Amino acid sequence: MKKRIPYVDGSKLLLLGVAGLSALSILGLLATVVWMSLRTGVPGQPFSYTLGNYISLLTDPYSYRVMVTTLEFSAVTIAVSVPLGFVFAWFIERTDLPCKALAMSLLSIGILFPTFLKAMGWVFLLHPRIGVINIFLMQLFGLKNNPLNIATVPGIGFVEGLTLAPLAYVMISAALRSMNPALVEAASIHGVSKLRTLLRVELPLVWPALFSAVIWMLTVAIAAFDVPAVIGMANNIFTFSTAVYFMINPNEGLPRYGLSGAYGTIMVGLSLVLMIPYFTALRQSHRYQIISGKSYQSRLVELGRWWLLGWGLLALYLLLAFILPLLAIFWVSLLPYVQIPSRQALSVASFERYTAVAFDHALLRAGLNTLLLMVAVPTLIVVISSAISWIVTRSRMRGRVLLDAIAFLPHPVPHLLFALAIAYFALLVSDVIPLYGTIFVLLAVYVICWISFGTRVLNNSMIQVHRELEEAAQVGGVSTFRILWKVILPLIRPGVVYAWIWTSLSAYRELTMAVLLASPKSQVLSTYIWGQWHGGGLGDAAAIAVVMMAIMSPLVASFWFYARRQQHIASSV
Amino acid sequence: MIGIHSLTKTFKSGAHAVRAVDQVDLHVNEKEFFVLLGLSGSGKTTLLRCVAGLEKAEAGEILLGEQMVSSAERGIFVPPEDRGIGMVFQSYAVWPHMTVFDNVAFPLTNGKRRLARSKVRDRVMGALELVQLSGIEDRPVPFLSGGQQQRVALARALAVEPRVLLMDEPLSNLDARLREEVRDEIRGLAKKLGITVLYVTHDQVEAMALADRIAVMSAGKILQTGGPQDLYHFPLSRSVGEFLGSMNEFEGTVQNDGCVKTDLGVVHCAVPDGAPREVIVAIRPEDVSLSRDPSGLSNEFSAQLESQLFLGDITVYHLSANGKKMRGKTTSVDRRLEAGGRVYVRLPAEKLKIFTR
Repeated sequence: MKKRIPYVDGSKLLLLGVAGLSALSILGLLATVVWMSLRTGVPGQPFSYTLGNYISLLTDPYSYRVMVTTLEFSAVTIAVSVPLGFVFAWFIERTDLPCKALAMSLLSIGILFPTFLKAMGWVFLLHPRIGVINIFLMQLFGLKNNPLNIATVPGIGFVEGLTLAPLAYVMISAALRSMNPALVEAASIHGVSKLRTLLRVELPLVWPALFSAVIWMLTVAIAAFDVPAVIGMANNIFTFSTAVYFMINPNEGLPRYGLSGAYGTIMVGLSLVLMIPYFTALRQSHRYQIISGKSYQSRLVELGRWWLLGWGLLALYLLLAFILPLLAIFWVSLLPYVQIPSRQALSVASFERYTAVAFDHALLRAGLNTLLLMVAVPTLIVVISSAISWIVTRSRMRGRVLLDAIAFLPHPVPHLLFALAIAYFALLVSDVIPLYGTIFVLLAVYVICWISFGTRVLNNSMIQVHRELEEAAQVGGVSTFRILWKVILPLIRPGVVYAWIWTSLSAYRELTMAVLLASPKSQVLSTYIWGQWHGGGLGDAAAIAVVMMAIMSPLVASFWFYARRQQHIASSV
Repeated sequence: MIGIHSLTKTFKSGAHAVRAVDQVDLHVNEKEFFVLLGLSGSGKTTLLRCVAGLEKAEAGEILLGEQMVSSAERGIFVPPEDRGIGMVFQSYAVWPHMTVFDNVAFPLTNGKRRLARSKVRDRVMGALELVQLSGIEDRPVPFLSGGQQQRVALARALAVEPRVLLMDEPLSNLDARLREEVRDEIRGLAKKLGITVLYVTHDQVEAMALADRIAVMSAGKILQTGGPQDLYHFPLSRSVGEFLGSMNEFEGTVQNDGCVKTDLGVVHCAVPDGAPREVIVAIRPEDVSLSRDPSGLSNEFSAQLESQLFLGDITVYHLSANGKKMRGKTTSVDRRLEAGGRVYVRLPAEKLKIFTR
């Protein structure tokens, strides 16, 4: 028998090329992390292969301190975010809380505001020396020392937990919503008390979802950079992420790429291992879901006057997570130096910083760079994700499951490591391709890391398009590329627009990857603020932060209106 | 027009491998309306999709006219867009983001067989007129009824002037009354335009109403091919007979004199040569004749009339003869027959079918 020649048309080849190149980039960058951990010296210079990096990692007590700090930080983060997320999910999904839509909006929008700004706000509030609340308490009670301190491991974990609570809420509420209420109702009909039903039926059913949320929070906490960097680094508190950053940007001496690679390799391994219990739990919780297409409406718990408790908690949360930190930033931006609100302070308050900032050339360039990323990144992501999702959900090509898994990889793996790898790669080839330090490095790493998000959204959308709609066009003689462009994409437009806007807003707020890659000519708004912050220009940083928030608010609002119309917000994780 | 030679298509799901199409041979003539009939899972849709090029068979050949479009052995696979076919899908598969006109025009403006802009409009309007949709060409398709959407799908398939029209259960999403109406229209159109049609359905009435010839499929194989009357009256196997309509069946043993001894009694019939000893004698309910008095002809048995069901155009009788349940069906009502009374049933020898057990 002759070997069969598989039939491939040109447009399919194009899709395959785009998808394959992206998958190779993801794998290549991960391999680079491992590779650099086995090398000595700085890229571009003579090197030798070595295990020395791992030996110095294992023998240095500093490594153990970083590990313990990371674990402690993660534990506090989980302890704050998951219970908050569960309480909000319970109130919104299981009770007759009034104005649920508003509650959901407030929580979901919270995910979009830049985390490092909230962290800055908390420094202004609770820093041992300059924290407004601390100064206030010290003056009030005549204390010699600051009563509260945010620059501790629990303090950092607390702030991180607050910023992650909306994410926990989205994950848990999805599980609560899709749980079959008949299972709970069956218990109450057969005379089981409410408490027993909660303990013996409802909790065991929600447990897998809760557990998977805990695991996910753990991976996010390990990867977290913004909060530990803003609050912790200046006070010598290092988690894995900030330790890696510090090795590349040390106060003195050469960057230690080899050692950071060793740390990175351990983090990659850890995040991938954590995916095993995560997916096991997720599968378990899917088993409890409603299978039929019928929409169940379970009986909601009647709150009565207790709705005040629900909204009270929510208001308290919003106060702590957004309003107070943002007000603190605004307040600081008006003052020549940090002081507590008073009549005297108010008399020196002015918008002077804003006028100074408005004529800053470097800031203007950072703004333009940000704008470029906000347009180019989401566009590339939508194009690449369409190709990958089409192959994964529509074609029957061999290896499509593997492609899907590779596209998912950047989701759990800390983005900082992708930035680290691409920096290393760009340095290595800088003689041939002068990429290092340009905005294109940022562009590339943003795209590579957020393909995972784009493909999750587009997979979900494409799978809902009936296969025959595509086959009808195929039989009519339409090429694969045209089918994708003229039939499938118009049908999943809500998903495409959603993915575009979300990644655009992400590009606006991203700090973690940018901070490792930005050079003086490739600054973006977030790194510019970061630079001011670390240069000691707290007031200027605050002023730019306020401007950044002001620009972002209408964008988030328009995104919110769009997403709500498309009922798409729940899949935003 | 369509030639299929020992075609095999296997689906693997995990460790399981299902032969959806198993060494099928089939020939459809030019301008013939050919129906593939079978239960779900019989492989009829897979066979159709192989002809369309939406599935790739791992063995065997498919010819469309003179063109070899699929031959696993020779490494030939012509993709669907190059096969010159039209297809109507079960779910209609009309594109919801386009108008009626755009749906029909899309393959003509974006496909491989692209037409000049000036000709597109004429072609589309012609196709819409054929399916009686003139006048609503600017409407978005989601605003159409199910029957209208199905007509759009039909117009779209016809507009490319295919040499073969493939239809996959196109009526199964329509309600019963509409189904009959559209069914007759499809048959009329196919004959008027003189195109070759390969049509898949699980509904035997639909198959008989539409087909010039029918192939009955089961477990990936074709059991029998023939005209509707052939299949109905002369099924080669019990399953084909049962599939096309209900039957009374009696187990029996062939006697030396050519008669068959059953629970009912000895039945005279033409036992084909080479039939085994253990057989099943079957007769359709409408072939059973019923009377209050014995006629004295052969194959007549006394029976008890247990109940009768008046269904308007026909009446169904539930009978019991020698402990065996059987059913009769007539178009005329004999008022003298009463439930609980004794009647005589006669099984005319020429209507009896003999199957191996």
